[in-house]
Amino acid sequence: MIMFIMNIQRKTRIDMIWLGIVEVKAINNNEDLGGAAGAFVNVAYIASSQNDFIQNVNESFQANDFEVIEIEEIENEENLSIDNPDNAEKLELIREIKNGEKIAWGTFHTFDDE
Amino acid sequence: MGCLKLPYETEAQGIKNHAFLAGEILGNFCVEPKKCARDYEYRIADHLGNTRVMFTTKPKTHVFTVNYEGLGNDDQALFEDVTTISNDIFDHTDAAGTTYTHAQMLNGTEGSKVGSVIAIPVGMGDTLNAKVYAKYVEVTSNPTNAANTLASALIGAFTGGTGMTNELGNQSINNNFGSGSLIGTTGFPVDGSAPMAFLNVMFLPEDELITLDNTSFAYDQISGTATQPIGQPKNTNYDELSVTDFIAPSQGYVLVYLSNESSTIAEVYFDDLEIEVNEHPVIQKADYYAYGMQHAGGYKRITAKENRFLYNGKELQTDLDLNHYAYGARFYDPAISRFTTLDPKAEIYNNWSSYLYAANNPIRYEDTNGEGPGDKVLGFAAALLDNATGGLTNVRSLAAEYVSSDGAADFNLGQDFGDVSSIVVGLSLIEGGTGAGTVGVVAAPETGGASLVVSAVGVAAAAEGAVLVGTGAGNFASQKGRLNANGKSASDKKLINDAKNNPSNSKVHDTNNGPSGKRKVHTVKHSSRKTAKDAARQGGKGTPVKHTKDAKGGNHYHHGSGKQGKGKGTKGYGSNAGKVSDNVHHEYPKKN
Repeated sequence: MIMFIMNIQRKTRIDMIWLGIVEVKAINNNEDLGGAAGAFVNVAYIASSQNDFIQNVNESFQANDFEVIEIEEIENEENLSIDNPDNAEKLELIREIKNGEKIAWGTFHTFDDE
Repeated sequence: MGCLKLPYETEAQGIKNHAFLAGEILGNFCVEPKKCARDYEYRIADHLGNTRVMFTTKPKTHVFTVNYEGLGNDDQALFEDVTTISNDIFDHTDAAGTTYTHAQMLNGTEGSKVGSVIAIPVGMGDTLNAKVYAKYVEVTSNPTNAANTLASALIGAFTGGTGMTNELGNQSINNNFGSGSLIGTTGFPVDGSAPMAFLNVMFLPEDELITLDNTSFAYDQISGTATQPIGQPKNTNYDELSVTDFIAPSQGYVLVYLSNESSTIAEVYFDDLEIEVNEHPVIQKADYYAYGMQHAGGYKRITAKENRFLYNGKELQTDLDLNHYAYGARFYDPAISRFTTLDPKAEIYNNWSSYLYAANNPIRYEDTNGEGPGDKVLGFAAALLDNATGGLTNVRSLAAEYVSSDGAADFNLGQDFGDVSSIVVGLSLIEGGTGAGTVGVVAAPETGGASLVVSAVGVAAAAEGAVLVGTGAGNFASQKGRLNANGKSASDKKLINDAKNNPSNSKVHDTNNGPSGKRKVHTVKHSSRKTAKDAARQGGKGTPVKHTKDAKGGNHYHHGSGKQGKGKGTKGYGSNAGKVSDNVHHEYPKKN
């Protein structure tokens, strides 16, 4: 079977799953954190770059009435060891992304002191 | 010329990433850069990457002119049997002036029956236009008594043509003309009141004899009114003889010549011959048997640079007449349908012969690098099914589960092909469906229910076509379901765009589910910022509990604090498994 040419160049950049630990605090009367001062949470998101990941995380948390204070330990799935038990939650987040979720976050570890 | 052609095909230029692997760009390196436009040559490949058609975006036009003045400002040197006379009465180059004076004269006698012969190599579909100006003088009614035949004259000229001796061409001419003249037969009528002088265009195929017909032979006869009376001043009764839009039916040569086949002497003067050949964009085509041998009837323009990236898009190595394809890791011989050396990954495919090609299933698989079968069909089918259902299925992800890390590129290419196929099929459905619907509506009063069914089917087909086109185009643009280079992760731009464009859709506290699909936000309280951060870094405070044997199949974990757990049925299971913070048995994702 012969098809006609579509002179469209395929996107060369590759999207992959990026992960990071996000420090957030609740805003706009959001009570999800039970009145805690803030929380740390593992987040996974599909992004084409680290900057893209940061932008996506900020936008999504903002939409859910969280303010992103800081994003740390950003890495992509390629660098993640599946044998390290510390990464168990991150691997779970990856699985959720692969199942079609837009963004996956883990347990919010809250704290009161600043 | 000032321009050099350098074919290239590199990842950096992105050419290899075209959906259907557009072949090469003829980059021009110019002495005068602004005068050298880039020339693109594309190859159209099928779903297995087999090159089927090569075409250029800039087909060439060649023009050959002869003014018979001998000044070197035309292409007279390329023509055979050019005999000129100098007499301004017959010159057309400056019909009203006297600067130029030469023309070619043919009077039909031996040695003067055929002139200005040129054989031009052409490809299938090339279009040729030719014209010449002519007038004649009726000198006498004496017979020409020509001893040689037209065929002899033509062959004599043709053999000495532009460097080409073509025995098949000679035979074709003999077969068609024999000892007489082709023109004047039933198939090629003639005006008996005018001299038998013609502008002729004859196609001679490259590898076969033909019997000339209206598609392979064309001519134009001089008008009887184009006379120059003897003893009278120069007139402008030139007749423009022309053959236009003559299309070469296959590869070969087009023989253009002037002739005078009059049985009585008539001096015919030809001037300002001009031939224009417009090349067809297609420069190469090939079809293949399943295992890579080429069908007869393949074609490559004589004047074009050959593209040897053919079967599977692999390069055909013709050295020593081996005709092997270079697959990277190995060479493949399509004549025996086997690789010539062992599979470097033979241990992976230990159920198969180490020499076979594409798991002996070349209809579905191709061999990406000579190291195992690559599957484009899986991606193709998944994309087609996904598009047909309007994206409601998760079939791409399901199919991706069966793709190895080496097969990501093939899987992606198959999806490209599937998406584009969806668009094409969708368009045809829209066109056909709309037509059927129209027919049904128009015919309904006369034909009753049957036509209404036709109408309904047509509308349904059009609707399905619209779904295919819309979904296929969207998924192709977003590259939905494509795997990354390692085949490990699904890259779905659409998800990100959805999240970006509709962040409110995933508001946590408005629905039961958060954006991750979890029920709202699950929190674990910590005494300090530091411990909270450490807990997040470790996937939960303390070491995640890992069970090795239980009803869940083992190897799952919990978030939370607690001791290292023990397997189900062992002492302390459960209570010592940790204070499970989220009450969820998390399974470790499978490693792709």
